[in-house]
Amino acid sequence: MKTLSLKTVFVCLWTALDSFLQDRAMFPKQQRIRRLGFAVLLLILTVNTVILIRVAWNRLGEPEAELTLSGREFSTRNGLFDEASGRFVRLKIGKTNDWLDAVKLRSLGLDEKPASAHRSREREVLLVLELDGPTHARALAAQKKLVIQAREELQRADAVLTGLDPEAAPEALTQAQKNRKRAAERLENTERGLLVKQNEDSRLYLVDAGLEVQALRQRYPDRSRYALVPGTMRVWWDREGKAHPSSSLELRDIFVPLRFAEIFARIDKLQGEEKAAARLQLAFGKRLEPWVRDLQPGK
Amino acid sequence: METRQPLSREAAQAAVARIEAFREELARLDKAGVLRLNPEQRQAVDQHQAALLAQWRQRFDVDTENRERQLSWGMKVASFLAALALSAAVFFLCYQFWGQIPTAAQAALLFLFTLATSLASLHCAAREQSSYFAKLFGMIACVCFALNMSLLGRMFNLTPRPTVFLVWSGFAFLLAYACEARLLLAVGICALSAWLGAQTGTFWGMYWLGFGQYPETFFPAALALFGLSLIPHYRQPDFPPAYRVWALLFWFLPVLLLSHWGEGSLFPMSHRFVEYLYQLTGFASAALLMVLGIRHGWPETVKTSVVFFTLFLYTKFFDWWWDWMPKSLFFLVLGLAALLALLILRRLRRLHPHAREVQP
Repeated sequence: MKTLSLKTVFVCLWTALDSFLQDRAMFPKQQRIRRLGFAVLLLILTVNTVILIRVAWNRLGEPEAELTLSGREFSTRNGLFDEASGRFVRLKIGKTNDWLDAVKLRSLGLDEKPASAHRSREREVLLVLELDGPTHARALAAQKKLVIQAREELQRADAVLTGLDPEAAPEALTQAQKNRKRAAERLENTERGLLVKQNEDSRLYLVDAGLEVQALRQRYPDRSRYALVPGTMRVWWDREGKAHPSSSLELRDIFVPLRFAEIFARIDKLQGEEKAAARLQLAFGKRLEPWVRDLQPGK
Repeated sequence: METRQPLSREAAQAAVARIEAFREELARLDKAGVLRLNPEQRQAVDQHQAALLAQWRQRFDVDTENRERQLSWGMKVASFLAALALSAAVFFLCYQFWGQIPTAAQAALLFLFTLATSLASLHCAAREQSSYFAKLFGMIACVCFALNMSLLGRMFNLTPRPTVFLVWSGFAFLLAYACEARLLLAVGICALSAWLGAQTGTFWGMYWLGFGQYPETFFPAALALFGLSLIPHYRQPDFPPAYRVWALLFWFLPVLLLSHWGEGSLFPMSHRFVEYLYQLTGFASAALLMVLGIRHGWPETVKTSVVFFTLFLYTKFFDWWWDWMPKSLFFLVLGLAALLALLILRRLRRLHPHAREVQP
């Protein structure tokens, strides 16, 4: 009885739909097109209005964060063909994954390995960008430590070489000279690496991820040093079951408005220290969507 | 006897074909001496049919002669190429000069482009009987609307969301139904399928942009499109077959892929088991849809199912025999399998009460 009544209901609904559609089909063509036309125009208007309201809401009031980046933290990019297609800046972000441990993955709901091998999980998260903060300081300190170690190694190699008996076997002398040369090269590389890190490398790092803005802001309250950006966290598991996490920003290229076109063109031609002197003021709004507030070429 | 007037150009064109077939058959019967109308009857029939043809030509711009049909086909091709070329022109125009326009002007131009091309399409749809220009402007309007959302998103650095697919599909569907254009319907179907795929991917715990990596995310789209094909379309009789064909493509292509690539499945089963499961599903669903298509008079369903049944069969033959069987023998087996299918279908056809013997 219950099945029959369900069938009856379905048949009645279907008949009503069929008769409704037949009646609509009898409408004159102009009337039908007029109604669809109103719907089309309403959709165009609604979409554009919603987008502009969303943008205005994002930029209303004080920014959620504001970072002043140097030329080390961004690169210039043109649109599809050339500068006439649009100007964009892309953030250069140093990645350190030491914060991506099992605890963090569990907090993001990405700790469970899927049943099949070679599978991955991915979800939207909020990423924390840090500008010229402890992470960069640690990276500099690590590089300085490498320089000190390289210097000590060179000193040891020098000591071995000078301490060698002139009557010693030629092989020992050759080996000591090789070691000394290698140590000198290593020192040169590490010192160059330190210079690059101090003057050229980006000071912008991804340092954390979370799911809620408020919780992350409590942990990173300095809005001139930390920005929260939408991103994705992906974890894939290899055959041995080891997890390999990685993160990426959802928005890679940030649009530069026309009023900065001349400055953008100048910065685009700069390199090295001149480029590093450029300044980009990036604001992040309520929806964590960024916009360029100011762009200066520097000296 | 009540005669129902056709509601669409396709229905009117089919009615014209029926009148032509009737005239040819009447002439043949007259020549064979089986049926001969007297002059009054002949005149009444000719006048009635001439009036209908004139009415349909005026209302739907139908083709009543071969020459007209050939020219119409040429116009369709020209209209399609023009739509593609002009859409590409708008796309590259935007990207060529975009950076030289202030932001406010960019937003205004995007809105106006979309509005103007949509209004042009609707205006042509209301005025034309055959809708060539309506479809052309409709295609450009779809491209403009997509550019509208995409470029605004890039200008204001908006986070991408799958909702854009849903909005774009709604726009394409509205224009498709206004212009009665299957090309615009195809755009709407693809956008809707992308949105459904993204939602399915999100439901399964992945980032929405990754849905394309997993073929199973297209199954809900296949089911939804098949459901849409069941809704009566009195004004657009060629839309339900289009829905069905796309539904079958979104069903069979993932099934075909997964029958050889079990790793691409979302289900926590072994790869071999997934492949066997999808091979079985492929054969069973192709056979079932063939039967359904024959029963309901859906020729596009039958043809698509036959094509995929053959593909499933031939890919299995390849898996089993290609490596060890001599190539000549392999293709001989394929040919024999096709002959066997021909014999089976001929047998099934003979079982039909009104079937005739097919003479080779």
